[in-house]
Amino acid sequence: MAVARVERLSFAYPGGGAALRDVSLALEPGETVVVLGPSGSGKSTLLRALTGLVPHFHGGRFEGRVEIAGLDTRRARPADLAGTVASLFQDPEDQVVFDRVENEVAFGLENIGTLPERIAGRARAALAGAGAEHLLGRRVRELSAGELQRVCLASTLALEPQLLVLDEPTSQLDPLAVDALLELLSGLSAAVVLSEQRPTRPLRICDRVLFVEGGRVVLDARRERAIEWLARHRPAYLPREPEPLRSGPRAPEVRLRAEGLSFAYPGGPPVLDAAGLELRRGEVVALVGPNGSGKTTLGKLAVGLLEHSAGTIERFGRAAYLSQDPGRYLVCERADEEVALAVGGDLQRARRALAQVGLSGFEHRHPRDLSSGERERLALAAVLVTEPDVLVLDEPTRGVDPDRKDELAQLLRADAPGRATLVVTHDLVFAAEVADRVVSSRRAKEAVYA
Amino acid sequence: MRSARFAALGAAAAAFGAAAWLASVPDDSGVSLLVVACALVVGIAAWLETGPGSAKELALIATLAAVAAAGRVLFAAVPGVQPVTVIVVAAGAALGLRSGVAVGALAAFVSNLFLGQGPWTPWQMLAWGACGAIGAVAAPLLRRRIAFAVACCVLGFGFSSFMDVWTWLAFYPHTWQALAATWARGAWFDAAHAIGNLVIALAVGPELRRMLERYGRRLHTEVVWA
Amino acid sequence: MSPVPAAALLAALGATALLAGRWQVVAAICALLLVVCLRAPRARRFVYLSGAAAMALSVFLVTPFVETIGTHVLWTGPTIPVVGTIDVTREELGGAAVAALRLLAVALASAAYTLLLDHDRLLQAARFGRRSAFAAALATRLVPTLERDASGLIEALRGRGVAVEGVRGHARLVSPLVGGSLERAYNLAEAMEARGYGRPGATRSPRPAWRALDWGALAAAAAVLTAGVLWL
Repeated sequence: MAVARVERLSFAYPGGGAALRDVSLALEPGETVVVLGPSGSGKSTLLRALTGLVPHFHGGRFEGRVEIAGLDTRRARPADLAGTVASLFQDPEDQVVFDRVENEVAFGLENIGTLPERIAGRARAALAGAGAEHLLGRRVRELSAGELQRVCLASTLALEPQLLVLDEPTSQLDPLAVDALLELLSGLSAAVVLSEQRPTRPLRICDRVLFVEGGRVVLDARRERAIEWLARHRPAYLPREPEPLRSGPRAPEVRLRAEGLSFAYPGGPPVLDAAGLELRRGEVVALVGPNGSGKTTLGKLAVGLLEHSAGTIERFGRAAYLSQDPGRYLVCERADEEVALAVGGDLQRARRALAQVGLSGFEHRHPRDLSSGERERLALAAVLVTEPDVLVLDEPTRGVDPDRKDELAQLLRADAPGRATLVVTHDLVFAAEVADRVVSSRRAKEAVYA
Repeated sequence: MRSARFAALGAAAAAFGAAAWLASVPDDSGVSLLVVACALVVGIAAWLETGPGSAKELALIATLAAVAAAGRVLFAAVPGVQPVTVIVVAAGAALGLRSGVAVGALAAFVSNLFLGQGPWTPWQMLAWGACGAIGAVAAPLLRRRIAFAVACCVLGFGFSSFMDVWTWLAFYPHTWQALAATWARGAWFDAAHAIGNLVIALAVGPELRRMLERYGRRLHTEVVWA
Repeated sequence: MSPVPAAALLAALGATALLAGRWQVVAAICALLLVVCLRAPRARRFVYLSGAAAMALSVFLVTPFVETIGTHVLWTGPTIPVVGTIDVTREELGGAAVAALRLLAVALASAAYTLLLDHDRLLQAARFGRRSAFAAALATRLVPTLERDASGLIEALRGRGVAVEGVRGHARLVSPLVGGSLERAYNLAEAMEARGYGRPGATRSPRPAWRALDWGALAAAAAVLTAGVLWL
């Protein structure tokens, strides 16, 4: 019997156009399904329809039928479906309810009416299953994004669901953590539906692939056939390996020189110890490495957002920093004002910067009304408008779909000649695409030139 | 629900008992007033328990209380300035009586988790809860930027005085000179608080309210079945 | 010790300090609470202990000047219109010392509560007002996240070369901070519903049972309070 059945589902959010058009599919027990597609294509909506959140939580116009383990979502609300289907969303910070790990994992168990004496045992087993046993007793505020994601996964596993729905769960994680998570998921007995923007690794572990575009499912096939289809129709979504870097002469002008940098956050262990970096005009350098190795810290030190405790930094010209979280660029009420903030309100320059990132016509829009992809572009425009001599971008491809990633790489390379660009990322494919040099940072060790 | 009503009745009884005690033994006003304050807080909690308890509402109340407490971080350089009053009044004006009171009382409780709990906590909960209530009740009058700012400033003053009066009654001799001295001691801090409220409210008051009203509309979603 | 009896004991000690007539009782309570507070780590306790001392000191210093009782005048000050002649008598000093001790006791009880009590467990133990307790726990959990958001806003502005200056400059950030927090609230509510919040028939994790120490603390709290009331 199918774990989930979707019959001719069409859905529109309140006041919006159709998000899903005439979608039909069936999910078998135990299978692992990857859902691909551009941002805004309806992937998230489809996933939420499998949990009942669409339509009960979001409202809107609902046509068709969705059945999860025999329960019709027209009648069953998300809370009723909780033990049968469990979900993991993109940002673990927005899912965790309690400060203590054990309370957090127990939350779902309490809600579905688990017998009190069984709760602690199931919580512990779930934490073990998610590889997070060592986090028992810890406070959520001290955990890294990867550890937090494991706790959230444990919370879902504790419910022993038949269907596990994950919406871009790896966007905050580095490649090692992604591999660990995907390995865990492929070993589960539940059916897993996983939507992702970095298709390379998920495509290795899945049984079946769905491609959603414009609200329709344009591909629904087993893995091998799906890869053929992607190769023919959507090559950007194919699994990709990092390409070898082009090598070439380096321009003589140095824009940033850092030597012997040491840094530790107050009350914490040293993050950087005698690290060094040199950036020259016209080059794009990718700084890669696992989470926690000090990449972001080095990026912030380079711009001057943090003060180093030892070592020297020489900067020649203006430095600008693009933060990992585009949500931090939503300060003003109009997009052009937001961009113009950095240049003292000069709307002409702001308009040019918006055009450069492909957001012409968005000048009057409220930043909070933009989709996530549009927000990322707005953030980039807000930083590019200053025409810095040193530009540091921190994880610019988080949650960005493959087509946009290629556009971003092209934009950065086109703009590169006038400045030195540092891209901090753990997306090795993007790093190879955009950079001239790749520098690797390891935990508290010197930067190694690759 | 039953336990909520039970708690409310118990709180009312405690409040009456304490008020009688206060009248008969004014020297113990410190403790008796505190009992009254705690009883009122329990009463408010019982009242809030009976309201709608959807996830959206609960998450909203908790988040607004948390951001009121966390917003302190923005003004770390200027002691005495915090955005709590402005956020609480805006919440009351945009979201109604129940939400306003809940956000105010909870914001006081949560701020003190990081600054220190004490006998001042129930007073702060009552004072900020009252700010939320006033915001809700006076909502139609607070649409203009200046009116909103003035209201926040005045409420800021009133809020500080609340605390000062209890401190005076509990620990200082019951003379008006002592009351004046207590007020004077806190004057600098109170002024910073009130002026801070004014500046913040002038800067972001109406935007905050609009934002909260927009969110309030998303609380009740409608599904159209086809 | 379980947090509820511990909180009850601290409250009883504080209330007794306010009610007791004999200053020796108040002093004894202060000493006891100070010893309890010293169990907290040094870095954290300094702030609260010094705050308590400052408050008590201000009572001691201000009270004699605003009170007129007693006959053994120790010092006479200037005559201020409306207020009258300021003087300090021995009785006033004594009374001020006792009042200061009372405030110190209450402040120390509060410090002990803040430093040593586990708030999460206290909220979990709530039997009525579950919704309020849950809201409080949720708000507590969100504060560090939102503080990081606030710092992040300032950092992103600095990263573009925009300086945030003055109260007005920072005040303008309150709006985007709240805006971002509302989005978080919406996502959080979605996650809560997906995990079954609001479903009838919810159970609770079992709480650790009260041990002899807990019952003892509760009994001690009651005893201290009655002694304080009777020993008026």
